[in-house]
Amino acid sequence: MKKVIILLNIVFISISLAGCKPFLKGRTEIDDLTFIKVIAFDKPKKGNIRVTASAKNVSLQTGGSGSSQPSKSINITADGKTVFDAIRRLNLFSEKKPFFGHTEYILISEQMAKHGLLECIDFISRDHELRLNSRIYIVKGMTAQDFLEKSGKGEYFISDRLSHLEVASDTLSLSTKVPLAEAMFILDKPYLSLYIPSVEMKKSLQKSEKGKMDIYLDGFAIFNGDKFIKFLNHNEVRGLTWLRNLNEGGIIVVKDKKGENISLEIMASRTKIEPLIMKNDKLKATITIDITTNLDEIFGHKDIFNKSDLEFIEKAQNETVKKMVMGAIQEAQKTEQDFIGIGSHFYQKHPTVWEKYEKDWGKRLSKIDFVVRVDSNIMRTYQLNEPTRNGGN
Amino acid sequence: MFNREVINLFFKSKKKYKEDESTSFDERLDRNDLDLLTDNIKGLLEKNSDVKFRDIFINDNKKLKFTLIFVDGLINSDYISNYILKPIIQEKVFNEAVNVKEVIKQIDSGKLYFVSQQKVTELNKAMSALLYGATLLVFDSEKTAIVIDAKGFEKRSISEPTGESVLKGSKDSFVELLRINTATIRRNIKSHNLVIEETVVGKQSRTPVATVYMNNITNRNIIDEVKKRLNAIEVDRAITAGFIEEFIVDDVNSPFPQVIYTERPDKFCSNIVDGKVGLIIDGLPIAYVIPATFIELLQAPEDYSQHFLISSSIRFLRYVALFFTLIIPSLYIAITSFHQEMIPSELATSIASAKEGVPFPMFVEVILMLAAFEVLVEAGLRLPKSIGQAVSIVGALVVGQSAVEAKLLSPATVVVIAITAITSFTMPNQDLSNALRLWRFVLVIFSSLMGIFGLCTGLLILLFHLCQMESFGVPYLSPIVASKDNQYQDTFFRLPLKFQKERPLALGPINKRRMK
Repeated sequence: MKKVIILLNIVFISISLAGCKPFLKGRTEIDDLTFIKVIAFDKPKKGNIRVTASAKNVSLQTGGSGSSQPSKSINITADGKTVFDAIRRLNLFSEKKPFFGHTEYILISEQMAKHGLLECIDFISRDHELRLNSRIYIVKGMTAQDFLEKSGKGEYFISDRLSHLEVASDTLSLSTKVPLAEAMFILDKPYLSLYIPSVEMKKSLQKSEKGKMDIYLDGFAIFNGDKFIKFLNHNEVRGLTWLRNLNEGGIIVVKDKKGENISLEIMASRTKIEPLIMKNDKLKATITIDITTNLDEIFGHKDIFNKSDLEFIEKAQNETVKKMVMGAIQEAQKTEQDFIGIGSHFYQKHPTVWEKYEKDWGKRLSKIDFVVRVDSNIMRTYQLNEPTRNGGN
Repeated sequence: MFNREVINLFFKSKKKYKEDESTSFDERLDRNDLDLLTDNIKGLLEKNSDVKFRDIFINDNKKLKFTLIFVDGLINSDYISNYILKPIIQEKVFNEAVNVKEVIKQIDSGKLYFVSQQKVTELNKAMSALLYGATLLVFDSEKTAIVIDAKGFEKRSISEPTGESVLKGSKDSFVELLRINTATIRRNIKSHNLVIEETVVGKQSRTPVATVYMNNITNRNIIDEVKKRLNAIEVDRAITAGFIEEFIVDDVNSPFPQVIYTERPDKFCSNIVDGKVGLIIDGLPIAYVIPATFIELLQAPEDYSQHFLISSSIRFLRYVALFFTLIIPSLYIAITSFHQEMIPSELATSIASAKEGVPFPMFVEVILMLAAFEVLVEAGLRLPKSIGQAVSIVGALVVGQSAVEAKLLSPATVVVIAITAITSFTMPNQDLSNALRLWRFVLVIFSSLMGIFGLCTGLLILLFHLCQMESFGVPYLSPIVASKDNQYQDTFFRLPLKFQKERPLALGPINKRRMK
């Protein structure tokens, strides 16, 4: 009993009198932190990296009606020789400790991307606070710092805006998420090439507010190794989502027999890639895309719900999709960069002979014979069967 | 420096009382060398105002004398006058009796109009019967007494159970009187195998304690162990519940209940039939079921009267509530002050913004709130019902609102403690609830030192503690650990009764099957 009392005394004294620091190491109060949601990387000049971190402006929620509209975000910027150097320097410009455990988005400016992604990605993947499921975006047309600062003045906080855009672009198949882990996986494989969605700030279509900017998320940046090459255009982006079997929806606009527009909504889409090795090491890939669409909108008056018309529309749809897919393939063959991931398919199907192809995969890619087959199926037509004013003309 | 005489000048020396006569009587009673005589009883009890002695002569015959002794207030005087005294005075057989021996013989052969009578020749037995409420007819010349068990005193009638009330089930409950409780049990289990044995506990209080078990089901070892521990108890009084509970449990230092108390005879009886041993203590309106296992602490009486799907889901909810009430405060401390990345972003921001301006660290807030909650509970218990409401109003207003507005506490902490408190009220067993209250504090301290690592350490210690506990030879976590029987039918979920064909095998019942 006496021993127990002595032991308890020692524990009590060492906790209470020796200063809590060594015992409570790692303990930080939640209100002493700013939760960084977005980090942006810039390359202002050689040998220097600029990090801008953005957190939601918390004090807005607790009330306090300021006269001028306060910024939605708190941005901190610091320069450093390396990323870690710059991130540590962020502490100097912030009243609270920046905490990166909630970082969802990593924005990288075009310049930085041209210089090389690995400089920023290495620290992010190594540090324990940052997460591997945070998404990477390339900022098109301006520095990432500007992007953050301009977006801070908008109605939404940048990370909320981006997450809404992610959901929206899923339904439109205009972009996909590329988490850090996936980017690292692609970078590890020399035969694959990185593709990263890009964000862009354009003038708003709304006329009421002058100079209002909107964020667009509808492109991909493609890379050679960790160096940025170019952006894909709209059709190529859609082709890429089909090739990577990431297409979850979207509208396909085709013309009917009379040349009137018809909108078809993608309900389901499945891409199957069959890699084949022919004689003399000739490579061939058959890409089969099954699409189920619903007919959503008809511009014309004519009732098109007969076999021949529907077959014509299906055919037109097949052509449109095929064009988009071929566009993406051609881009890959032209740049000799396998961002469409066809190399993995060859590797999985023919692992024994793969080693032979792996070294000069880029060159071989440009010579692959691609055959694209699209099977589409128009399912239903929503509430109306016949177009309005049917038979008028 | 000061010698004893000097000290004694200042302090009154202890008076040594002379051993008075009753002490010597007492010693002789213990030695059992007193004869059963009125004078001896008088010697032991004459100072008591409530013990009455009355000399009666049958037929005015000086030879046929006996003394009526009883404790006023404990007997039914109507019975005594109508069915005992009246026949003795009026009946022919007694009037014609020549000597006391013949009177005793007549009484013994049933000439009195009373069911419960007994001839006693030892003073010890006579005395204890008298003090339990019997009436003595002492025949000095024969050193014999007739014990008439005509108890009649004020008692509480059987009322609805207060702590364990159920909607769909009997409204019976135990009362303070042992005899009424045993009768209630007999009414529930009419089998001839039901055994109700009685022993006396407490040197001064001499409380009768009944051990209840099924002769054909209950494991002998458990019965013997219970009896052994009951007999080994050496206390003065067994008037409050703890006096017996604390002496018969295996591990006194554990806060977890190792015997289950109940005020419901139906719960008690179904446990007895399952192969457990019951204890009923005179003077307590509750009964104990031995041994307890952890799983049973979370079984409520309603579970068996509702549809199995409903009772299963409610029971599972109870387990969730158990987990919540145990770890929510410590988990909250751990994730808000050590692992902020574990909170969803939006929640983290809102907790942080609400915490803004609160001067205390998170664990101080939580400990303050927990302590405030315990104080409120305690105050609510102590105060009379009419003032009790004031406590909750003060508690709700002061703690819930003003403290938050004054930036002494953050609202998230209040919510967390409220969840803890509400979930703790779902525990069917108050003893378990109290044990959890204690462990909650332990876990809070662990997690405020080392975050989730500390919390896990604390939980492991708790698990270790529960695993190594044993109650009367039955593992405390029994169907879950230390069992190869796989009897999970009545643990986290209550499966339909047709799956529960066997009695709890951890108890080692003689007869294993409930149904074919």
